[in-house]
Amino acid sequence: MKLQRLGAGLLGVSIALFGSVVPAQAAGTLTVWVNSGEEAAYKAASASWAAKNGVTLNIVAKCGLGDCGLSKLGPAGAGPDLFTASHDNTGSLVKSGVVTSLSSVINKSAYPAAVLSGISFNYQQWGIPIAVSNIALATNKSLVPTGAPKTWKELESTATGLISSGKASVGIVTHLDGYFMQPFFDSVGGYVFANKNGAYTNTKQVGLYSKAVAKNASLMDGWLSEKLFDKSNTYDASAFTNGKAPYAVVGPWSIAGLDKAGVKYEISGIPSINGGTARSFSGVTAVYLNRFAKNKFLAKQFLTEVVQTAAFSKAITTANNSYPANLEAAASVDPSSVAGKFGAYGAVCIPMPNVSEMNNVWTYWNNAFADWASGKAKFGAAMESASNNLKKALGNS
Amino acid sequence: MSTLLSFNSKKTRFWLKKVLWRHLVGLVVIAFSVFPLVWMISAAFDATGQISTQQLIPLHRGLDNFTQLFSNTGKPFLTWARNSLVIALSAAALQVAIGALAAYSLSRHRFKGRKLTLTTILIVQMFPQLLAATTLFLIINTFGKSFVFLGLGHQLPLILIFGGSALGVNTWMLKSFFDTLPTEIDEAAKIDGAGHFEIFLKIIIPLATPIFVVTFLLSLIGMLNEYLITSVILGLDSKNMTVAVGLQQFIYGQYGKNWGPFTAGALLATIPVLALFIFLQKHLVSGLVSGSTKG
Amino acid sequence: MTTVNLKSISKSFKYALSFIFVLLILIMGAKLFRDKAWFLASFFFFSAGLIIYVYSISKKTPGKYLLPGVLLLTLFHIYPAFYSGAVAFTNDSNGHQLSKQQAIAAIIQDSRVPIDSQPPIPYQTLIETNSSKVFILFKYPDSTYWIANSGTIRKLKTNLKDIAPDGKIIKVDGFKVLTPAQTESYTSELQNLTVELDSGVSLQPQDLEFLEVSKPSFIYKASKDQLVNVLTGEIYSPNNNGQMASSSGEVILPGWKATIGWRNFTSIITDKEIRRPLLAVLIWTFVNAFLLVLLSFLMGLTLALIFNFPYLRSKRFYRTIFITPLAIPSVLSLLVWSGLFTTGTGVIDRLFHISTPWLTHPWWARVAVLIVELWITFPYMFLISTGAIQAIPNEILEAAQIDGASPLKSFTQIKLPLVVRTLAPLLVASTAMALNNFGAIYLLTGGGPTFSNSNGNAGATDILISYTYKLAFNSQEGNNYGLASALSILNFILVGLISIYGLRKMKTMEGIN
Repeated sequence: MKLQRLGAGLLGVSIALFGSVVPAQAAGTLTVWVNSGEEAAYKAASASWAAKNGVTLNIVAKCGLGDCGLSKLGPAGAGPDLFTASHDNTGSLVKSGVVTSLSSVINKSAYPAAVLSGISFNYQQWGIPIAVSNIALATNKSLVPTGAPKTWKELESTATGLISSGKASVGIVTHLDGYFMQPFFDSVGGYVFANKNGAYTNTKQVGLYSKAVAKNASLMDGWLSEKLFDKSNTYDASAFTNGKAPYAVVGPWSIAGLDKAGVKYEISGIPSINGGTARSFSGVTAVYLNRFAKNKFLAKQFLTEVVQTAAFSKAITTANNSYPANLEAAASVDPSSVAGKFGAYGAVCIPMPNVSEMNNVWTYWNNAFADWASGKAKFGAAMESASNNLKKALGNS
Repeated sequence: MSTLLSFNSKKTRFWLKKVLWRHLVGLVVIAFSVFPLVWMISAAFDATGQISTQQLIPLHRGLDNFTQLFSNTGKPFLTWARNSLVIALSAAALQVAIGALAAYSLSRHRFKGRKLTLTTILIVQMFPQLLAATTLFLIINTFGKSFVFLGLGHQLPLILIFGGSALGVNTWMLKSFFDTLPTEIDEAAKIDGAGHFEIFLKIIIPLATPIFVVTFLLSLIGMLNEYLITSVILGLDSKNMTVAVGLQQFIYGQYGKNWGPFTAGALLATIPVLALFIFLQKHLVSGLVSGSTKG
Repeated sequence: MTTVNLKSISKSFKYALSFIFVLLILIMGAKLFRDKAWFLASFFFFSAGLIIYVYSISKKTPGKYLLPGVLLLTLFHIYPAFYSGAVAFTNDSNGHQLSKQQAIAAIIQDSRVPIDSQPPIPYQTLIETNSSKVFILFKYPDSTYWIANSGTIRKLKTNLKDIAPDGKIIKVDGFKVLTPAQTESYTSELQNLTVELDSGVSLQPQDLEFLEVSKPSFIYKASKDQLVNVLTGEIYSPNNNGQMASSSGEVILPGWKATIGWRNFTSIITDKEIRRPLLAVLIWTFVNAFLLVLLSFLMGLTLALIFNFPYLRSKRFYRTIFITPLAIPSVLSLLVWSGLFTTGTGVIDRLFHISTPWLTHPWWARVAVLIVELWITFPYMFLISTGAIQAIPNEILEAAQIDGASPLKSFTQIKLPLVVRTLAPLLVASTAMALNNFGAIYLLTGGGPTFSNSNGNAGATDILISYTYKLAFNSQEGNNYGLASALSILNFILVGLISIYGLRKMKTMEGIN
């Protein structure tokens, strides 16, 4: 009897105790998911706002690159309020219903048109852009004293000259896949989806084997045979740093390695065979709002008062060596710096298509490049079959 | 038997015919066995670590990779190591405890549904837990809403999940071993007035030490290796990760793989396990060997 | 005397401990129940009851030893397996994660178009005194005052004396007017509030002071279960895939999670995009498992025979080094192997002065996978073979020698059959595990090189489990949990059948001799 009463008492006390241990988010807290390694930068850039408004900012490094399981986490209430992602995920994020439109929050005039198109989908804007990143051409100044090539002819002749004289083993160090080869692909007239005013509206029009590609395919075969590209398709950065290759296609992530190896390099755009500059893909990092966020008001306030400011864009991009998406911040970047050079080239690049059909594209496109590199097929044939396969796959979905 | 130092030609010829070739085979197999380990060591001490183009004697010898590994605040190796140890040791202990209890009962008690239980244990293990990862995630997420310490990103739920896999092949192995212990021991103890649990604790467990060591070690290695369910439950927050999950961050993504710190970390992760192996190899070998004959 | 006391103390200590433990489980169950986690709550209550029954009431001892393991097994293995199985009958995939209600709300929410030159309008928050429900009070479009929340809306008849000079209402009958400072604690209700006027205009709080005025392009007619586009007049009804579709087949995203019956299973057979790569994957699953077990067993057995030679010293040395592969965490060694296999410039190619497309050519990739799997498995096979050989009673071997049997005959007719019979159960278990050998495939090649005519998920070294994993978590077309669950069931049946077959064969073998 006594025992039972003791038990009941314990039960009651414990329920009361446990009831108060509620792992809920207090009002005045914001959870933001960012890319691993960037928490410090985000924390620093938002600290004063958080202090002024009495907001607890939880900035957590949780793969801020894409979906990150949000399609399951969001509806389950385990998602953040805001998260960063690269813009090519916009389509699939919208499709999954995980993000909510930011058209009424964003200040469109603060960003260049290309950047805006990256985060636009279905006539709405879904993310607040922070940074733009793209690949660029690095020239080894010790091998090529004249510096970055101004025309394609200059690039080709320099490279082949060095190769035939035995000084270089390959012309351009690069991955032979869609993302890295995009500028060269653009040069010969290829494209992924038809692009209208920056929007990829027509995913039925596939340009993997456009008329121009068909015509210029032999050029690519020629470049492969004259060792402009490396058949083995291994990105051997040491070839560039050791002076065995005059050019390399690099991204902002490569800069630390280049500096460490002590090589003298210059960053520039990639010249097109038609004169002018070939267009690479640019990637926009943007902040998105979780439809199931617990603190929507606070999140929107944060977006308006902090994320959209030039100062924020500048702070984040300085920390991770990328280029600001915000026009005002971009204007303050030193054009002769490495980030400035990346940005200058990035201004003429096209944003990666943000439609979810892109996932299919990468598979067939990368396979085609792999087949071409290994010698299984000529460039034209490889692209033609990729184009056909892609059209079939898209037609089915 | 015969030593090389004796110049007895008959014995030397015997040795050459029967023994030398075995040593040669052994050398080849040793080379095969330690092959990745050798290159891991080279890459770990090579500052320009690119495992694909690695040279046997590192070009830029140095401890750069190790310093990089330990100074990376975004990728805290020591925290990962601590997490790995806590989780693996607890989970292995839990698995051995649960397995031993179950195996003892399955070995000693003849009850209705015993055969069914044994077969069910085998069959259930055939549904790979990794495919149920989303469900496990949802379960732990629900737990987390009511009890913070049982939610995502915490170690306790992960250890309990691993405990759920305790009734498996290891139980079979333990049961087979218990089967070899004659029931007369139990009978004698019962006559002395011992209860069934007392027999288990005081008699069976001491006798089964070698097999427990084997099972514990195999469980430990399994838990240290596990990265799929670990990453699902512990999440993507760097300070929660274990070594198996965290080291992969260095080589994540198509571009910008950082093999140097990765191999350095992998080497550090291998040494304790290897040392444990060598230290316990007597038990391990005899355990596995006996486990096979009674299996 | 003292033993009796000790025993009774330890007994009551045990009772107290178990009492507290059961209480803990009941309390946790109660909390889960309060938090509406129905399944987990009932599991906890059931477990508590079972614990009480097994440990105090029941006389049978086996349960006491088996219960902890069985409870954990049920919660973390059996239940998830059944749950995943149930998912196989839904269209759970990317674009179908929300409930129908959430999906429709999302469509309407995102279709809002701001009304031209209509700035945000200020509002006040009210609490209804009887129900404590949250209401908002605002003036729109001219001087009409409305009181509304998500469910109801009505005009407010205002008395001039209740209106402050700045337009704010001071008091309302039956309601408490909140000051700006007090509204903060009702943030979550205000965030989810949407007011719809008859004119199709929708108002939503955009922060604690202002309402955003817009017109959604879609209206949901609950009675007809239709979504209507007010601009075009197009009508959308649910299709059989959890989406709102028009008569011409145009689909609005996002969709929702819907039960689709056996469609995932039938699509495995009917959908070419799934069927074609699946067949190749299935074949390789069997071939890979069979070769892995056969080759590693042969290697292990051969080495066991070679190194069981009595005159060979340093047996222990070899045994220790041979099992090195087991000591390196496989997740790390596999990734290192993938680096060593790099074509041309990789370690292996440089050592043998060859250039092989290890990971990029389908057949070479399969060879690479088998080499690495062999490296991982042969130590185990070596050890158990050694055990089995050592277990052969010496009398049999001596008898054979006396009978004049040659070493070869001794091996094939005596040693081999005995060893195989002894190891048969372990070999069956190894085959079952080899069929699900996820790590070796996924970490080494990722299942690649990808089949160029597949939907991008299947490759030359994919086995069923890696293919299923990629479909569920890494798919090129958006994760398809429904299809992956269907394939998991298939996988389970396959592995189960083979294991049962193996076990049966083993039983018949034991029957012989």
